[in-house]
Amino acid sequence: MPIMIADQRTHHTLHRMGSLTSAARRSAWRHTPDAEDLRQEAVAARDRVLTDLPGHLARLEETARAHGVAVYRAGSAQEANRHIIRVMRELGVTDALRNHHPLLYEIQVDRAARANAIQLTPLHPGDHLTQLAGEEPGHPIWPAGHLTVESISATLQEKWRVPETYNPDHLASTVRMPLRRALLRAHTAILGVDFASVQEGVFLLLDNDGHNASLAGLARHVILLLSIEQIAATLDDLDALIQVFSLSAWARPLPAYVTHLQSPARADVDGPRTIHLILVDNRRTEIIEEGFGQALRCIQCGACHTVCPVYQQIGGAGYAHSPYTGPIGAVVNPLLLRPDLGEPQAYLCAGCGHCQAACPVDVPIPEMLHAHRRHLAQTRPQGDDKRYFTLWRRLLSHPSLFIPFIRRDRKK
Amino acid sequence: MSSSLVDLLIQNWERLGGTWERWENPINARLALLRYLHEQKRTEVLAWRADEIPIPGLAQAMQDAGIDLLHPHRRNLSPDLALGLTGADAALAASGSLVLVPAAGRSWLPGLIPIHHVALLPTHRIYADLRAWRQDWRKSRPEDAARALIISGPSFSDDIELHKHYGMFGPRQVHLILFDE
Repeated sequence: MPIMIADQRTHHTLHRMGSLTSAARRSAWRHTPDAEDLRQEAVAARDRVLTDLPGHLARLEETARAHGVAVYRAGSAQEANRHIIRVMRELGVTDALRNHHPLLYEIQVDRAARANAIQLTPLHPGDHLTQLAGEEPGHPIWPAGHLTVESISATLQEKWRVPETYNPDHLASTVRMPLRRALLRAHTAILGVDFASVQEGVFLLLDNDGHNASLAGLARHVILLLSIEQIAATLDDLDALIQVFSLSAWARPLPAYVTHLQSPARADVDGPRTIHLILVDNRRTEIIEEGFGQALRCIQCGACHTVCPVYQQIGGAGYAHSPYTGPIGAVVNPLLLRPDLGEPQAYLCAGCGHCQAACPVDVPIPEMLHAHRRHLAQTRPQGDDKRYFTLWRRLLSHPSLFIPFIRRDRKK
Repeated sequence: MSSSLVDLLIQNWERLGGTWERWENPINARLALLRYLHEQKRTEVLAWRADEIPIPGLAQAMQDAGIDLLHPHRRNLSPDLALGLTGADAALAASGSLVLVPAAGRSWLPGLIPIHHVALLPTHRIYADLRAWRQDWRKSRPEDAARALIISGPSFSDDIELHKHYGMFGPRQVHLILFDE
């Protein structure tokens, strides 16, 4: 598989995003009282559920059912999509709005919806722009982070026949109007859940633009999709995760909107009348059994992306059309999606270790990439070494781009 | 209420881009609200039911000022709605946040759909942070702690080259009227 090096303008955009968001993230953590304690609490919260995932899931299922939520288990992406399509048919709806969440890309819900004549509209502005441009999200938080103002303008001119503008505010307003109109007509929403708490059966949606909160308030029916590992034992653990996620993703103590969903709402109260929850495994149980459970600590905040010199060279497109990009993508793609993705992805690493230092839940990314490489070295024919060495050399052949970045990080 | 918590809330609220004013009693807060609505030239406001907003005599004052309080309903939601009015169940000083719990007559939507959101908050409802609020409510209002909406500043998207565009889906401007009881 070829590794794509981003063009100069895209590279500049990725580099700028990395520099700005990394500096903001470091500053936010520095200004957080007891930051290291918070980080340790978050790590403990992740490990508490990962050491007994089946037990926690059984309790979550029980609690959710007690609150009137319909719960389904999906062992695979196909099974998750079958549940979605069946629920939508039972509701008698042929269109829905969805939020932005890597899990929805992992199961390829858009493709499944199209195949079943269901119109699914992504409401997140960056996600919507990425889809209009015919591309895939390059970052868990900023799916359109790799798109330049020029390319967004060209896409909107072509697809929506709007006048040319390179003003980001005008472009955002152009996207905002139709999405807001769609939101106000919301009937059914498909929502990837950020976190859930087992003890209280609470499902949490985090965002800054408000599309999750508005959908939760307006949609009559919501179908929640939850990666089985994105759970916390209690609301206390959940609070630690919300805070570390927000600090690492958005460099602020809390995002603009933290939406809690627990049970279907009464007729005179905002909230969905029915809630359907799909718990998606899709190889996660095997990942734990295979000894890579620490990879599932990941809370998908994107902090490792913005400090990674390789990601800034290749962007999300270098990670095999997977929703999981950046350093953590290189670890989980071969585990979660297709084992053959492991070959080139295990070498998408400069060995600087910034990813683990930036990770709020201490995922040992470099160690796991080493484990992938060790496994590859033991299993592949000797002749392949040259190919991988060439690939690595190619990635590292721009020292002028790497060295200032690494020096800057060490200074801070 | 410790003045340091009020100060911290205000400091963080401002940092997020919110505006605020503080009054010594609910009556002055009511006058401030009417003045604010007058300045905004609004005669229709998407709002909580008046008796759910912790200001005495609000419904009559609004009526006298010729301002209609619209109760949110799918029929009256439009992308051009200018102003939403709510109380707040709590505030979190460390993050500059408001906590809203949905109930009959206390819709989330006035805080989510209009371009401006005005919230009225008695200062005794300010907590230090997320954890302090959660711990208190888990004892006193366990169900509400699990279904709240926490709002921290205006809605924004920074999806286009990290340029902040305010008012993407939710309010572009958030105004807090604090008052002592």
